[in-house]
Amino acid sequence: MKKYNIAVSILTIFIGIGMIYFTKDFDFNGLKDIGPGFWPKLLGSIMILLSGILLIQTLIAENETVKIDIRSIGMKRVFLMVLIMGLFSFMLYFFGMMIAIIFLIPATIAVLGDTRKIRIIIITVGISAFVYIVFELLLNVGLPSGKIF
Amino acid sequence: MDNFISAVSMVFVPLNIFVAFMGALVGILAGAMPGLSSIMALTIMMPFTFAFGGYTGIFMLLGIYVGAIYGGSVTAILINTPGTANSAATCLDGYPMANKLHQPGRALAISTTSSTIGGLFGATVLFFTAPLLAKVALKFGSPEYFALGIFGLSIVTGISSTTVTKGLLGAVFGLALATIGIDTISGKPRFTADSIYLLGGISFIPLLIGLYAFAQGLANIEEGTKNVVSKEKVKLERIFPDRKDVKQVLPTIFGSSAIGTMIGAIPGTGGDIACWLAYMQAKRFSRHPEKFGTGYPQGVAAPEAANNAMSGGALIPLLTLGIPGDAGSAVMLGALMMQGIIPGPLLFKEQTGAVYTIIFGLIFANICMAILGFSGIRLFSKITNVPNMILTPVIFVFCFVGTYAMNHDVNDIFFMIIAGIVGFILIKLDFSMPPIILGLILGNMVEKNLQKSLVISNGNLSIFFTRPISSVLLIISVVSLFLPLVMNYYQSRKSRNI
Repeated sequence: MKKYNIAVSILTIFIGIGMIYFTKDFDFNGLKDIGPGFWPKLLGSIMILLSGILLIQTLIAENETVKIDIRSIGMKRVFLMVLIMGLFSFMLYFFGMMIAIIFLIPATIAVLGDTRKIRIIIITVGISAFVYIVFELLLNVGLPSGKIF
Repeated sequence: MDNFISAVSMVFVPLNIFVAFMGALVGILAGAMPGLSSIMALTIMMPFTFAFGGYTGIFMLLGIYVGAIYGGSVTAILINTPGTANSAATCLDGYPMANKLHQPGRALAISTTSSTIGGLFGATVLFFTAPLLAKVALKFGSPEYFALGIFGLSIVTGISSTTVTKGLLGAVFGLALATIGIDTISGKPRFTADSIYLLGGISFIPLLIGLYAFAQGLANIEEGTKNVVSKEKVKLERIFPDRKDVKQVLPTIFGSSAIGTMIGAIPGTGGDIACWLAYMQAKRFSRHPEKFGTGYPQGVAAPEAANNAMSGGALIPLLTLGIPGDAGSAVMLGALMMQGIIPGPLLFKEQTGAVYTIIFGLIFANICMAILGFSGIRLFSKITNVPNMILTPVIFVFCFVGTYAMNHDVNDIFFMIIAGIVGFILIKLDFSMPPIILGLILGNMVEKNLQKSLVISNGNLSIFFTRPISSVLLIISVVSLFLPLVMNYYQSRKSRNI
């Protein structure tokens, strides 16, 4: 099955069509005044052409060149991590960076398979303290606060 | 002369000395850890360098840049796992010297020496050639800049990707990303989806951090604890190289440094190509090619000299033309522009002091790298024991903090996360990042110069082919695009005939 390359080809064809469609109403006064729409249309056309070439190459190739096992344990960890990032974004928006980090670090360690509580606490406190001291206090970078805190 | 003296004196400011050393240390540690890379270290640390005023932040970045390239050799030699792609070729002789010949100290000493000499060689070439190239670049007009942008993209797509088609798609994708935002000539918004955040265009640094660092964090999550290496008890018998080794490898170091500098000067290429090319050439011209792969000193010296010399070479097109030589110098481009230093031929005329400061900063960064390399070898050898479950959360946290530090905009963090997820998917689909990044960087330059050229020529496309520099660059672009395809075709025909 060569599904991944085929999916990418189709997706990029749609992106190319989208680029041409959303710039169709821009001014074009010939090559001497190409306007803001010419370049995106050109890129969109090239993208469609290249996607077509990729599709043909994929269909005539003997083997699948891209091998991804989305059911593997590793990929399941990645999906879980993406969910955690979603939660992190929510917490960042409402509670600020420090609270979001205190959630993220143990969650990441747990995803990687370590559930030793003392170790998790030490690593979480260590990294959080390092971030706060170095970036907030020493470098004065400033960490984002949330809507609530 | 005043600019020269001022630049040298900047190097000896205590704060600049301190940050250069700190940058080199961070770079070496980042380069030594297999889960990190030089680009990750640069992209994550870049926002923090703005906390320092003036050139101090630039000194730190140069230290990280140079240190990370060298740092990859530590793990390449000790555990046969290159810390960065720049040190992949070092494994071939570095690991056998450390493991089979039981001489890890000798291997690290040769590596440090070669990296130092290579780095200084590249910086010296930069010092002498950049002003000359800048004079040529002053003759560049809009057609030449357009052709140069196309040339840069054509080289990187041919070299960086598993297939040319995916490389080109990546480059076009990067060019397309550069169109997002308000068009500077007409003032019309393009692909902004009525979002205020996108009106200003795609934020370069969050995208870079997402594609390189965050995506790598997700890759570490996928690997899990697979890449944890059992604690290696490495006993280093020596730190400095002996005279016999230095005499033996010196010609190789200089030859490889020349290769590295030239590769670095070609836009879009980097240390990963330089190290392999130098290794192959050293083997080809060696009196004992059969000894390569067995722990031969030249096999360690060649890639390490080349990859550090590349750092100076990559700054040549960056400073003279405003086009980055590799992904690391692409980050430098962003940093320089944020500091009000605009790379290009006019930089040499209007900000000569800045040019010399950067060049001497690079020379000093290599010296810092050497001092830390020789004195800290024993510490760096322990870095291989950092487990993934500490490394990965640290990567993520640094990504968030580094992204926020740029503009203090939480939306940048959300954008960076999305870019990181997209970057991970692209990596799994065999797309490489350099064409995308270069497309984004060069997109505006290519479009604006295309527009200007067509206005000048009244819509006549022959302007690109009647000017000699522009036509030569476009011809080379076409050749570099189609040459890999033609070579692949002939090679497959040859293997079928056999």
